[in-house]
Amino acid sequence: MRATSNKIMDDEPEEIEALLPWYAAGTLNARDARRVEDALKQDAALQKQYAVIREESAETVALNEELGAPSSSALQKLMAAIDAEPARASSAATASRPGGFAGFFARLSPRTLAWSASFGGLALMVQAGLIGTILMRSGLEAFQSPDYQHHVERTSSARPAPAAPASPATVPSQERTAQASADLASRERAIQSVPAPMRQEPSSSQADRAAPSNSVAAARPAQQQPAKRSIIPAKDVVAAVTFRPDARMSDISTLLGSYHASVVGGEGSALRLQFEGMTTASDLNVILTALRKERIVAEAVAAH
Amino acid sequence: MSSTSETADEALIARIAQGDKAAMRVLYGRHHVRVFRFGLRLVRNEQLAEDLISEVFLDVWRQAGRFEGRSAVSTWLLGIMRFKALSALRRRTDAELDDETAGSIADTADDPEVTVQKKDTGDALRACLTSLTPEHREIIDLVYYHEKSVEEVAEIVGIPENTVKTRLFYARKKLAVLLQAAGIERGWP
Repeated sequence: MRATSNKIMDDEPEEIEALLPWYAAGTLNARDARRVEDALKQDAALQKQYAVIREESAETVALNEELGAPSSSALQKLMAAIDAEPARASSAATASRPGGFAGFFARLSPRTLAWSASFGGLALMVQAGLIGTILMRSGLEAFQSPDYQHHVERTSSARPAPAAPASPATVPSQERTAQASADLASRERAIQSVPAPMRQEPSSSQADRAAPSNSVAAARPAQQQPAKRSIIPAKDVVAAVTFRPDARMSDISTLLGSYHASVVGGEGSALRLQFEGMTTASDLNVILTALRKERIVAEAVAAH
Repeated sequence: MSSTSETADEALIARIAQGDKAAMRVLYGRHHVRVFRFGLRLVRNEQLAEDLISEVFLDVWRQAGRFEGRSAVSTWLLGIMRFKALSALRRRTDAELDDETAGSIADTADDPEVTVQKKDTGDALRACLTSLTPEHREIIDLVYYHEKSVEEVAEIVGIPENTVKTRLFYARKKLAVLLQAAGIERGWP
């Protein structure tokens, strides 16, 4: 008998053979169940073993059913133990509370947390890659801003009047010529390049100063290329300004304020003024043109 | 177990996590007999198995909030029972266990020839099923009686799925050996 036992126990199950008990219990997935069915149709030995397994299964169920059930005291004991447990109303309330940053993450399973972290990391990497690609294609010095580009297009002399913004002050009439429209658009560009206080608080004298003639815009070289914003912090432009001898300190102070300018040095009788937010050569040209029209300014030139 | 009842089980667990004692009674009523029998087949002592069933469901009460639903509730319950049964067995000395089991459940493990006296193959089979080692009894019960899939048995017992398959195969072979010793041939293996 021992020899027989050893022989029996040394055998290894075939793949389908090993699945037969689960097939008999009806707990195989559809794919494996189909494989077993196909094998059973072709293999008589497998059919015989399957019959044996069904017998084993039936007797196992019968054996377990004979075991009975626990007495009612088991439930009483359980409920008594539950009653003796510390009240967890507070913890239950905390768990069911919808808000709470820490609570939200605490309720996530470790697997969910891991997937979320992986997804977040991947999203960051993709974002970094996209930004890098954009920078590499457009060159390191600059990238274009859509609304700024739109503004530049509006100022282009080739553009017809309807492209101008809806501001009542700047909308040209239908009768104006294209050249007049271009001039107005250029003026708008010049006005918007000047610090906000100059536009918003046009005192009578300031209005005279800040409403530059068409020559201001005309003196500016037409912008043929789209304006670009540097991603490198730009340095504010500096101009050397000589004031008239009769200029009073209060007038100079008012002018500095309205141009958002600050004194950063001197060159002979001229003061070196730096203009906040004005960073391009075009900005400097606009500023210089406007300054030269100021009553108290004798001379205004670019400074380095 | 159908997917509907599994969903209902998960809903019960969610309510239990909120402190709903009525949900606890429903879940107990639905599962306590099978879980008790699984434990009884492991520890072979009715009183001990009854104590364990209370402990299992008390654990459910305490840990319901941490149930993640990755497996069926019944699988979770059997896993808790198995852990508690093995822990209880480890706490007892062999001598204590032998004394108590002798009086609670008939065990023919050392005497397979007894089965010869059985009237038919069914009786002999049941006697031999009882004679198997706890390891083999456990896996046969889980597959045939508790209707657990390969994956679920692997989770409950804590072994790889391939080991589950080979362990059941060897359990069945051992059963065949016991039956042969009892003079019963079934045509396999």
